[in-house]
Amino acid sequence: MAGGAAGVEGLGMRFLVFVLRRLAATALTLVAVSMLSFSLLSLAPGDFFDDMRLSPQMTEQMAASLKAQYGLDKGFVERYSAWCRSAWKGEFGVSMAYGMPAAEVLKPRLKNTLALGGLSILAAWLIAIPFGFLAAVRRGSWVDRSVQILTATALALPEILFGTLLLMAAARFGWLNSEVVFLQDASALELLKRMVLPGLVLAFAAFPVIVRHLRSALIEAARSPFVREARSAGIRGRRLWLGQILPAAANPIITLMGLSAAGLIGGSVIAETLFSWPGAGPLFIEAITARDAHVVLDLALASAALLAAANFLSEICLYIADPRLRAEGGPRR
Amino acid sequence: MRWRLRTILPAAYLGVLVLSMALAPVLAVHSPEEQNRDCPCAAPSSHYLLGTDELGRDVWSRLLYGGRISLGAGFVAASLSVGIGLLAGAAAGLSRGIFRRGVLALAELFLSVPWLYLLLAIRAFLPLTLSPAQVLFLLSAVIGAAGWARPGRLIAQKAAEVREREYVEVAESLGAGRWHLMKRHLMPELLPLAVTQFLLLLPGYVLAEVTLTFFGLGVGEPAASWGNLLAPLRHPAAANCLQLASPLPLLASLVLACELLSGQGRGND
Repeated sequence: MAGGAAGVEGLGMRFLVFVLRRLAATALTLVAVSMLSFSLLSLAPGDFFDDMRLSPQMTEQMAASLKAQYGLDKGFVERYSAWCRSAWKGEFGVSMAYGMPAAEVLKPRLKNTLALGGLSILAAWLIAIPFGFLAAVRRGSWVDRSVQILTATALALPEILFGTLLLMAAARFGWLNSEVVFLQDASALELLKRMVLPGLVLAFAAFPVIVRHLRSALIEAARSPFVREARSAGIRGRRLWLGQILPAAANPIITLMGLSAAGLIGGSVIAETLFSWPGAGPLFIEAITARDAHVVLDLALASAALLAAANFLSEICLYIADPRLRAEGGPRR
Repeated sequence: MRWRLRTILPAAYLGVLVLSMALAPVLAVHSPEEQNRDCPCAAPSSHYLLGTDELGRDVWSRLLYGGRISLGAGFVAASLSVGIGLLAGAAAGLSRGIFRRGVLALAELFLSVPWLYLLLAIRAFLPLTLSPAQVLFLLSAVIGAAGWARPGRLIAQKAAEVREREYVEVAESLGAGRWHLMKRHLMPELLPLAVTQFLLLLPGYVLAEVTLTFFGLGVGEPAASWGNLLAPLRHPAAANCLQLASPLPLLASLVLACELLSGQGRGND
């Protein structure tokens, strides 16, 4: 990011226009996702109160009046607009299973998911960077080959497989802490300990992807003519790789950062549910089985929003980092 | 595709896998649903090749019959995704106007929903009690339909690129119709891409079925599926029942084989 603050200031008006345009596109996508999810959910046969019919205290009339109270007897358009109004108020609908505004149910869960996801993606990058660099610098050597084998092995064990293996190992060697600790009472150290296993699953899935992309981005940049020039001018070693090649490879690496954040969101359902981390993942599965429509909708939307935010941020970074894109009026999607 | 060990070996593995699933009734001695309550979690023996699960069912039979469901779902779903992607992509690549923009925007929308969440949300509209065959069909249809965007976008890009080539333009100016362009010039270029995409999607879709079933949202017991086989491992008490993990090595090598075949594992140097 040569130029630093002065360069960013120099972006000026066009940068603002670019940001606003991307923001508008993101908002539109989210509205479309909410409509898509809502219509899929309203195709579902049955609703939350259907299982209550099994209870002997429940009469047909009571079920009907409860449905009317929650507006489940209305048409699609009315239900969607009711949800939109409540989203505008910041409540994002009602969780019927918890009997309170969906936002209140979601908030602590999303916080836990973000903490776990953020820490594990950070760990994945920190471990992956040296591996990717080493493989690129020593391309074709035994170091490179062993990194390739390592990433191929890691790729062959996606979240669900690695998670199951880890769970078996944990059960066998007694790594699981069986005592129930409420997270709000837990100390920071206790929290970190609980995060290790699910975090390992997430980081392990992100790691090979990062290493491979990093390696190929660096090699790609190392091939460009100006690097050959720099080499022939006598620039070598650390100065060449960190000063010349890394900035040239920044573009795909930034895109990859956004992508790896997106991968974590999908994977967190598996990792969290396997190791009972009280994040959004287990809540999502719980809400689906209970047909708690608004919670399902909100979680799908929240994950789409996280994905969109990651994309948005990486596009802004790209715009600032790469003058070529600025000339074209923004990164192409 | 050169005939090297790294293409022959994974192809042979896939072949053996598919063949043994197809021959499941011959290879399996016991019924996958027959319970022998006297020996739950038995170790592998000559009677039960891979031992039994916690209900005394033969794990070897369940592995074979479960593979039929898990692999079958993957194959159907991946074919569906690539098929839709090929149709939509080729059509979008051929037309230049609003249709092309519409298809690409729709693909963008599908890509912006985190995939597993979409899958689970769609599962919500399947009734929770269905016969295994119905669930299998619906599940693979849903997985396949949800995943068309990735191959679709790539194929659309490639189709648009081919369309711009000179010989295609010449053919067009000589009066070649759309159908001719599609058959003669587009498909030969697009099909290898579609095959690669199929190989890239397949392991992910098999894993999607396994994941859904693992969490109790897919094919229900007593039907055998690799997800159902793994599911008891969620409880620490089952950790001693090692044979339940038998789908794990098969799945891992499936991912590896598809990666090698699609050429992703070849490294880019």
